[in-house]
Amino acid sequence: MNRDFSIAGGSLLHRYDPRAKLLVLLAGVVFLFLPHTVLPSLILAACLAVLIARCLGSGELRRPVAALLPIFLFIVLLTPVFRRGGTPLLELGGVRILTMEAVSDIVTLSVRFLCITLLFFAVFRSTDTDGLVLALRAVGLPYGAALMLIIALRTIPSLASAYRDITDAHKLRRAGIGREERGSRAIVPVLTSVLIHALKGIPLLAMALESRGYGRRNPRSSYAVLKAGRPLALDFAAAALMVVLLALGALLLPPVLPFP
Amino acid sequence: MKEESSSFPPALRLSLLAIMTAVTTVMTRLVQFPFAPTRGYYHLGDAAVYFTALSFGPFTALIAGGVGTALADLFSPFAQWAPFSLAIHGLQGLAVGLIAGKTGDSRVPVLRWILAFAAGTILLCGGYLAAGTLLTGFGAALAELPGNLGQSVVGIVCAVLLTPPIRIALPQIRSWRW
Repeated sequence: MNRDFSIAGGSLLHRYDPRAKLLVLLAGVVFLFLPHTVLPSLILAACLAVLIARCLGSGELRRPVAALLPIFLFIVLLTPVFRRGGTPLLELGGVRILTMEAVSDIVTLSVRFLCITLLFFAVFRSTDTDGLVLALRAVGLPYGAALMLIIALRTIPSLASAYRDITDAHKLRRAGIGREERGSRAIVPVLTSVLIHALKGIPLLAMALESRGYGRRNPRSSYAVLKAGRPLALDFAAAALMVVLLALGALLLPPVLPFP
Repeated sequence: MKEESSSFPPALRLSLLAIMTAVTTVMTRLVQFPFAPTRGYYHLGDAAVYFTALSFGPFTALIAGGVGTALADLFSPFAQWAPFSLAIHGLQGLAVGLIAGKTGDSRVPVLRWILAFAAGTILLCGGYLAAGTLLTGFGAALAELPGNLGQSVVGIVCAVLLTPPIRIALPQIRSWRW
């Protein structure tokens, strides 16, 4: 487990400004929950899939889609159970098994959830943690909260490594005395050691922060900065164009399926 | 460094929040508790939230629990759940911390802990049911309910087993509540 949830790269998606990405993410989610026909969402899903495959790799596209398959199965199987009103499509012994409205809901929910998943995946897999935190700072996240996030992200890999080392040490200890343990008897001693290891570092970290002037009132400078000027304006113009296209698609594209 | 209950330096508070956020993320993403009947796994993110609430108070649990689980979602293919995890687990930690309150050295307030864990479980299951209904429809969200309930129970058991030995090993953490 490393400190970055993004994949390194230099594609268009990687170079796109993180602040504009957050704007596109918000606009996309709002759009997907507004009432509209299914065609604009299908087009959006297709565009996102192509973008992810080109910029992050087709192997990366398989990950969110594979993770969604069980959820799609639940949607297909369980939505008709709770949506029995409307035009019946399949009836058995007078009991409505499937209705037109249930099929409409299945399609809408599935396409919307796919779009949201791909949108979040595209944004967060192509944005490094520094860029994400700086983008959040730009929209008002306080300095202390940003510092907390950065420290947490940098602590995760060493904590994960400590967990693995402590787990191996406990396994060797149990093997040495010929005792196999499962469930909470195996995990609780490991977690106790991991937590003590983590908590013991807190005072040292606090001393390090104080020695670097955390808590003082003088203004701070920033080592890492995001882009500014013309490149930033271009990225925001692209975001605005996308919002306009989504709105036009929702208003002008006709329904292609026999239901809205 | 002084660790008195009457003073809680900003640097110490920030360090506590950062480390507990990292602990919550690791326990959500990496630590798995096998569930034999289905050969599946539970994660221990809820255990981290409950432990943080019992040991460090409601506001540490609100921030570390919410941000930690949201970061874990960002590390997974389920980044779309991050905003919901931020809110649901944050509120879960806040509620458990407020209801459980401060525990004395010699006794565990059993009734308060039961009420606190009940509130946390209701917030967790209700929150994910509402979020799942919004994202995937009521039927699919309802199918996740037993898993979330089991997740919370596993988290409660682990938190109750973890809290006393850690307080004995590190008595100074008793003053790190806020």
